[in-house]
Amino acid sequence: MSRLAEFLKERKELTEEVKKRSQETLAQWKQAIDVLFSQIDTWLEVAKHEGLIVKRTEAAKEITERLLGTYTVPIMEISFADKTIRLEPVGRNIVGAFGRIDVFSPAGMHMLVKLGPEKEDWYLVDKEGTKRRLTRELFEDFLIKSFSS
Amino acid sequence: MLGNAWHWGIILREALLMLITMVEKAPQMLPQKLFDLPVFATQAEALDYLRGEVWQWLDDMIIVALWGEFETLLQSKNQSPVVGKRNKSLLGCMKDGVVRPRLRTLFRGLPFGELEYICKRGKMLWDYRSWVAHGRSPYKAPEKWAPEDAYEFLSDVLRKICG
Repeated sequence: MSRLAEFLKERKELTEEVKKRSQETLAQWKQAIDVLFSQIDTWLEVAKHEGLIVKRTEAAKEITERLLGTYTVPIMEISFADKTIRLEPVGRNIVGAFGRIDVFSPAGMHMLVKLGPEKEDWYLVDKEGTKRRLTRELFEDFLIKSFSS
Repeated sequence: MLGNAWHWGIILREALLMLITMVEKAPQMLPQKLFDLPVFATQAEALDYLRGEVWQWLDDMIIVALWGEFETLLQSKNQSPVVGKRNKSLLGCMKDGVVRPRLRTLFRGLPFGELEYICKRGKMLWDYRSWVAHGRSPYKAPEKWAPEDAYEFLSDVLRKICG
């Protein structure tokens, strides 16, 4: 094999490897959003009987990131009476985190950040930057505070 | 000596390039807050900030450091009173951008055109350096300088006045 052919072969393999890894990362990120939204939906099941509306819109937002390309993500809206809380994914490539979802609510802007590769590594971050591990109790407290604002 | 400030600047530039690569390849491995960025910034926000504001800040700091080294060299204690006087006069003319008659006398070996060039360019660099050092205010931005050009110019001046 000529030196040029060898070089091109190596580059092709490298490009394919990067592409494969990026596809895996994107699939994991989309799955992480899906798992989280499903988890939240399950947590709110009982509250739905009291008038809470949970709406998930698939492919509602387009995101473009380096290596990952352009992809779509779902958006979740939790409404009660005239108040709505909106969960909007921002991106997988985040400084210091494995993904970020912005939470717009009457109580102000919060973030859900994924601080590790595991599915339970989501944290709720407030305006002051205080991080608390996301649990059903924490999320319910957050909703109560938001709907009281 | 001027080379010290330049080489430290290059090392810091390399460090910034490494940080940019980290933001490109594995931003999740970095601290949650970088410089003045908001906590958990997006990759795009971080790249814009590092390649823009931080890069420019570093370039400007290299220029401030280069001028500082240049002044230190010209005002060094280990030189004869004659050279000391000569250098003081040159520094003053470079800050004002004017070739005074005294400077022409002190640098008889250098053609007037050369001295004029040094003083005019020197003032431009001094103005930029001062504008940066005073927080980019309060007056209008002077003509921009790149560290490479500042290093080349100041090294050239040193070569001319020493040679």
